[in-house]
Amino acid sequence: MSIGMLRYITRSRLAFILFLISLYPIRLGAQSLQGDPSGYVDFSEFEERFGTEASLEVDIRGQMLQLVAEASREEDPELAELLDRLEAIQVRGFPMLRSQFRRMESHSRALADQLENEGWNTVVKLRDYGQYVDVYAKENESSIEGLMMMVVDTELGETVLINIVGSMQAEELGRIGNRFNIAPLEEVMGDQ
Amino acid sequence: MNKSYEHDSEGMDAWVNERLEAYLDNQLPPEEAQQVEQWLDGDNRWHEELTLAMHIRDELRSFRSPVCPPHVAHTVLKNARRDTWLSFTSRLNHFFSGGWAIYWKPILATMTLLVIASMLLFRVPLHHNTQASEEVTQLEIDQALDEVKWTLGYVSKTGRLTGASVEDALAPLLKDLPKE
Repeated sequence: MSIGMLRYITRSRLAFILFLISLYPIRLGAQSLQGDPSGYVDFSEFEERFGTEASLEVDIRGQMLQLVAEASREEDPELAELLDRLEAIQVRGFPMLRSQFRRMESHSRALADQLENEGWNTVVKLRDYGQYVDVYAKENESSIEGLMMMVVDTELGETVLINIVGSMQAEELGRIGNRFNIAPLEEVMGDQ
Repeated sequence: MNKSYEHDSEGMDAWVNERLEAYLDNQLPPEEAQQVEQWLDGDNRWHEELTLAMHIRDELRSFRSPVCPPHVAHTVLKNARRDTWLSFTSRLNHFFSGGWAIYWKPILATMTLLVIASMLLFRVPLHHNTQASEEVTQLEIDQALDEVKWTLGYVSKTGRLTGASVEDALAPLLKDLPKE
C-alpha cells in the first residue's frame, strides 16, 4: 500500500467507517430475506395506516419456508417445488367495520400509488359493491418476482394483505391454490 | 641530516618494538617471527628489550584481579539500564517526531479500519449461525404449512372470484351484441 493511499485513507477515514457501518444492516437484512428482493413489500407502513395491529399475521420465510417445503415434498411435490422458489409469504388480516370502507378506499389508492412508483404493475383492480380487490405483480422477463394482493370485503368485514415473494407463475398459483379449501378469515383469526 | 637520522632511528625502534610485542604474544606470521629472531641474535640491545618485555608481561600476569564491590556493580548496572531506556525513548521520540511522523497516523488509521472491517465481517456469520441453530418444532412446521396452504387457497379463490366478477360485469354487454 502506497503512502499516498494511506494518507488518502486517513483523510477519508470517517467516510470509510460510515460506509462500513452502513453495510452492516444490509448484511443482516440479507440473513432474513436476501436484502429485501424487489418483490418484497414492507407491511409495517400499512399497519400504521390502518391504525391497528393485524389480527392475522403470517410471516414465513428463510429456514421455515425451506422446512415447510420439505414437509410437503412427499405429499405434494408441486407445492414443494413452488415453495423452493419462494423467498417469503406474508399475510396481514384486519377486521373491518362497514363504516371504515371509505377509509379503506383511500388506503387502497395510496397503496396503488406507492407500488406503481416502485415498479409494480397493476394486474387486477376490481371495484364491486362492497368489495375491493387490487392485485399487483412485480415481473421480470419470464416470471413474477412478487405478488401483492389487497382484498377489502365489507360483506365479510375483513381486509387482507398478501405478499408472496419469489419466482412464480400466475397459473401455478391458481392451480396449486385450487386444491386447498380455505376457511373464512374470521375462523383463521380465531385460531391466532 | 642528523635530525632525519634520529627520526628514522626512532621510527625503526618503534617498528621493532611493535614486532617484539607481537612476537611475545605469538601474533607474528612465521616469516616475520624468523626475521625477529635473527635481529635478536644479531643485536644484543633487542635481546634486552625482549627480556624486559617478558618481565613486564609476567609481572602483569602476577597481579590479582580486583573484585568489584557489590554496590559499585549495582550502580553501574542501574546506570547502564537507565542509559539503555533513555536511548530507546530518545529513538522512539525521534521516530514519531521526525520523518516517520507522516507515516504512523495513516498506518494507525488503516489498522483501525481493518479491525472494524474484520469485526463486521466476522459478526454476520456468527449471527447467522445463531439463527440457523434455532430449533423449529414439527408443530410449528405443520402450522406454517397450513398457513401456506391457506394463503395460496385464498389467492386462488380471490382470482376465481375476480374473474367471475368481470364476467358478471361483461355479461349484459355481451348479451346485447348482435349475433353473427
